[in-house]
Amino acid sequence: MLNCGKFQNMSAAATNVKDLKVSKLAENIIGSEIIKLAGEVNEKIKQGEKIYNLTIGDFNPKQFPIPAELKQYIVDEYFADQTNYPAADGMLELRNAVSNLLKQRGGLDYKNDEILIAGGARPVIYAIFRTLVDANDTVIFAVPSWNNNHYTYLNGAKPVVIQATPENNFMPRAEDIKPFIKEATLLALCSPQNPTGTIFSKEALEEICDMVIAENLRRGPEQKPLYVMYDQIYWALVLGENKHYNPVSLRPEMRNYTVFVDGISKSLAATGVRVGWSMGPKRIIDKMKAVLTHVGAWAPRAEQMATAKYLSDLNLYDTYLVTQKKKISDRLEGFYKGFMALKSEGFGVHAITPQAAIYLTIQFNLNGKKTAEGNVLENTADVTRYILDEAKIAVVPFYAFGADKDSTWYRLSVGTCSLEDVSAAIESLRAALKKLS
Amino acid sequence: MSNETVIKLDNVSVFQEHSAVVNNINLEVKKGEFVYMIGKTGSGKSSLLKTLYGELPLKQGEATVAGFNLKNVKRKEIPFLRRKLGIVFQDFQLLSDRSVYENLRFVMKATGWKDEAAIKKQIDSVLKKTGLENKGQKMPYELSGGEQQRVSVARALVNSPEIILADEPTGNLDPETSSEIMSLLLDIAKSGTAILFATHDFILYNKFPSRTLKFENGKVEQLG
Ligand SMILES: Nc1ncnc2c1ncn2[C@@H]1O[C@H](COP(=O)(O)OP(=O)(O)O)[C@@H](O)[C@H]1O
Ligand SMILES: Cc1ncc(COP(=O)(O)O)c(C=O)c1O
Ligand SMILES: [Mg+2]
Repeated sequence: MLNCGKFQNMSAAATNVKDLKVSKLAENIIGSEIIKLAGEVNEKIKQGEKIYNLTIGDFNPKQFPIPAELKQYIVDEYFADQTNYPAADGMLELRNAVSNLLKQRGGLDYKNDEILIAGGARPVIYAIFRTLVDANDTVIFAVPSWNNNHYTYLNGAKPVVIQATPENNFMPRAEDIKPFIKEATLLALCSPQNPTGTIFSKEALEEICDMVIAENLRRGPEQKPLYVMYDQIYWALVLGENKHYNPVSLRPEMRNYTVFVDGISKSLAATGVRVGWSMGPKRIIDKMKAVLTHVGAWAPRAEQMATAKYLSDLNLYDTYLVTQKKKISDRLEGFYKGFMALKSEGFGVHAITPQAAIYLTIQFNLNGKKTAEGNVLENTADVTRYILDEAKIAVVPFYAFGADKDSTWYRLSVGTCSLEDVSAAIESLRAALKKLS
Repeated sequence: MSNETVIKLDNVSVFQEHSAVVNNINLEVKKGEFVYMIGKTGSGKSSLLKTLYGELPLKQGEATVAGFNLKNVKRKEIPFLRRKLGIVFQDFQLLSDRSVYENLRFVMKATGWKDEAAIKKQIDSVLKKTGLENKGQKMPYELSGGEQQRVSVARALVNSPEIILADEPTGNLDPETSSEIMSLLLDIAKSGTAILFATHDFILYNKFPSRTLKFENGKVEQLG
């Protein structure tokens, strides 16, 4: 071994790797709560246990594959040497295809220069925060919700956290938000919502829009307006008779203040393909493009071209979604009915009617119950563990989405489960609940 | 070394989905034997290991592993099969939010251990065996790669397995650390645990010669 001494010195310095100083931002950043839970679940699976792992906010490609045509197009584009830098705002083909998709299916009119393509929805969210929010600005979001706390933190902004309630399907209401809007720069909304699988009603969203419009009239042009980030990444997965609404279609005056988060990650079950986009006022989209250029968070060029080609035939898209939504809905409805049956049998469980996305909101009201071994379930952590150990069901407590530590509500995700798993999991839960006294 | 057979395969073919990736394997492994599995990426080493620990179903042939007949094994029995096996992977897969001790304790609780005193005794014993006496209270990120892999070996030992299945366990480690892990596993084999060791690492392979299964063209050839 050459230079052995030199490397030894380096590794001596590196033995205290954990003590290396990093930025304050990095020092205090927190990982995902869900990922922590997933570690325990995976360990149990490795030990050979049959666990109904309903924690993952992702699709199992065996159950929910991406469209076959999209898969083929991606491969084709690589063979056609689409391997260089994409355009900074996204390939024109894709921006045109998205513009058309929004017009034909989304009720929105955005031109190709009002659309920015990125490597999934996350960079879009990051760019929105970076573009609109200064350090110490106020960001309003409700909990439970997905990752708003982290993006707020990354910007050094001040979070105002609203507790959404089961009575309102865990969607925030105008009256909950109103006391805080005078100071706020950004209001982060998400519908269909992760983690709840619920959506805004037309009236509820209209009330919020009217409030934002009034606030912006009050501010006048000198001041930074109150913006709305509207995350509609799940909008294609609205189930049954439910209908997706967005601020701009309901109130055209919202166009200047709304920036959308969107993409194919959920609609085409393509979480690993990494194609997302944003729509908004051209000035804001341009600034977001400048931010993302320095991050390099583009969607790969071949994936962009393939997605453009796929979206050029909306018949394909519609047909795919019919099957996809049927599969999701069968699972969600199966779990919902199962939970409501258990509830009617007198067990301390509950669920909220699923409306969209791949999530069901469920409740375990089991504090104070005694296990067969005589242990009392004292708190949410005990209940979560009991459900995992006895019912073999893994779900994510709402505290992982910013709710209170002792919230009794959970997210159940159906993206990785088979239809057979649904009834088997409910039976397993029934057996575990029966053992409690 | 006793003559007790812990793995016996008769005409086993290993399947991924519907296609066979390795055909007609005949193999007998005895208590305390150390057996290499070598062959190119994609030659089926991991798939065979997965079949042995019940992750892939046995579709063709007869296989007995640690007393379990894989042909008739029920889904419910898989956890009991796994308790007779220790599995070590290339990535250490430790729970990053808790100490070494708590990592081992978690697995023991999940595999039916209840008595905390017995748990402590067993953890102390496996930490000693793997040279980690003083590391129980460390968090995974406070350990080097070699130490983390020792923890995953310790974790594989908590249920005193008859067999260790190691799938490229040194794939993430530098040569020197790899040799240390290798010596540790050879010691474990000497004390009676059979070890199947899939690897790419020819330096290691040449340094510690042992019985070898070579995976090539959908077949397994026995060397040495
Ligand atoms: N999860 C899987 N699904 C389908 N095919 C797989 C899967 N894992 C591996 N294979 C295929 O099985 C064959 C053997 O792979 P593997 O057992 O991983 O080989 P090795 O461990 O020797 O690299 C390869 O052709 C591989 O593509
Ligand atoms: C509400 C919401 N927005 C955005 C994302 C991120 O999407 P992407 O994978 O495209 O970054 C997710 C993914 O879980 C989500 O649930
Ligand atoms: Mg392998």
